[in-house]
Amino acid sequence: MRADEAVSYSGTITSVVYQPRSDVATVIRIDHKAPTSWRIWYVAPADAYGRLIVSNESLTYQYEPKVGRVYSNPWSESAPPVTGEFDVGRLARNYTIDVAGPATVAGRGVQAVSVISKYSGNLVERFWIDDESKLVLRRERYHPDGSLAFKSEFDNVRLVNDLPKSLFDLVVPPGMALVAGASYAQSSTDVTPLAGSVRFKIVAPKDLPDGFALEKGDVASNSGVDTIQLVYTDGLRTFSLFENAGGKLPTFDANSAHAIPVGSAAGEFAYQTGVTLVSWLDDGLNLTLVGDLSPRELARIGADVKP
Amino acid sequence: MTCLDCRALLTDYAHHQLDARSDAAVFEHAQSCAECRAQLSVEAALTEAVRAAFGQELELPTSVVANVRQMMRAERAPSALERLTIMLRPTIVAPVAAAILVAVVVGYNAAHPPAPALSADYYVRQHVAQTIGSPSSDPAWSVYLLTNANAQNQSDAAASPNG
Repeated sequence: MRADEAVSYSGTITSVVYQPRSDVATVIRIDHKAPTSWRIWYVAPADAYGRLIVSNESLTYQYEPKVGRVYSNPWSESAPPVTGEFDVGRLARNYTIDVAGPATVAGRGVQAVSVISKYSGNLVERFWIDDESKLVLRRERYHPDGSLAFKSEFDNVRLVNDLPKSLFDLVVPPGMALVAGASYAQSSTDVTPLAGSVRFKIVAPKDLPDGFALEKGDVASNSGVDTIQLVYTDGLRTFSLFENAGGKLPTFDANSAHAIPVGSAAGEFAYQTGVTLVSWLDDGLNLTLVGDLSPRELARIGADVKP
Repeated sequence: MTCLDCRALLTDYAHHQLDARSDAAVFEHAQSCAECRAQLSVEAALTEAVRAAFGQELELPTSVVANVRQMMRAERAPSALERLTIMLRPTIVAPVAAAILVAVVVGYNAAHPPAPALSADYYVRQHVAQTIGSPSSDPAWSVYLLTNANAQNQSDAAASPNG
């Protein structure tokens, strides 16, 4: 059971994504009524200021006062908890868990835990777990070179017995229009049927990085382009392999893409909103890897993908 | 043959213009008639003198020859086969074939526009949407990315169909 399924709380969280060109931060006010009610209000960045998200983990309403709209999203995990649920078995196979000792976050006693890759010996992530509630009050993710990838931390947090139910009602205020938000493909752990949904032969890496395995897949269509997505994980880190017959590299933000060889193909990579993206063309297919790994790691995976 | 008949034919006989029967008749008469034989000698000498005075052959100017040939061609309308042969000349077929090919390609492209390029943001959002519940995801940041797509009404097909 996740800690937040039993604990109700209110607080403020600051998250920072560290990127080569610029760092991006979000500040949210969060209220959680156990087990499944969430209310998130964005204080920063400026383009999200005033955005309110209310969810019962089945349906999510996103309120945008600036444009007078309420977006409805059928996400399966609509307003996710601060941390996702761990596949403990997979995590233990691939990582060493090292309890570093007591510390303090947001004025509360915590235990610091380091997660170290058994294969590379690199520190991948740190968690600071509240002694009382077992909530994760702080987490830090690291690049393979040891630099900080992102940090998320409660600036303040208050455990509560209950919160008013009205805070979490999914209603459309007068003067606002309810519209459908973006929907995303339904993924499945059984990827075999995907082969019949596209006209090209689906390819996959023959040799995965240590500890990674295929978790799920889906097919999505956009502007007439059908794209297969295969999601791989090692219990902590993830990457996706996208494939389509569009025959074109993705468009990147200005001057953000750089050349990188992917096997014998000429690929491009970019750091995009906290993840790494590597893309190349091969035999008419566009293949794109997106995830927590470095460009070199993704290119090495890509070199093993042959149409 | 009489002398009168013979003398009427002497000029043609000297230029070998008579038919075989008349030629033989003049020859036979000239064998037995001294006066006709003398007249035939005069005719032959006169012919040789004219030939000697205008012996060099004259050629027509090239432009005259060309004009004559053109007039000869224009006088005769080409047959259907000749017209077809003219049409099948490479200088005519190649541009026509190219025009037909261009029309076919343009028509096909209009009916089957090339797929647009998807944006990097599209791939990132798809990845975030499928991993938002995983431990690797930073939920506050992930939710910000996905809700931003709604708020900004972004287009994932960043390029134009011809781009």
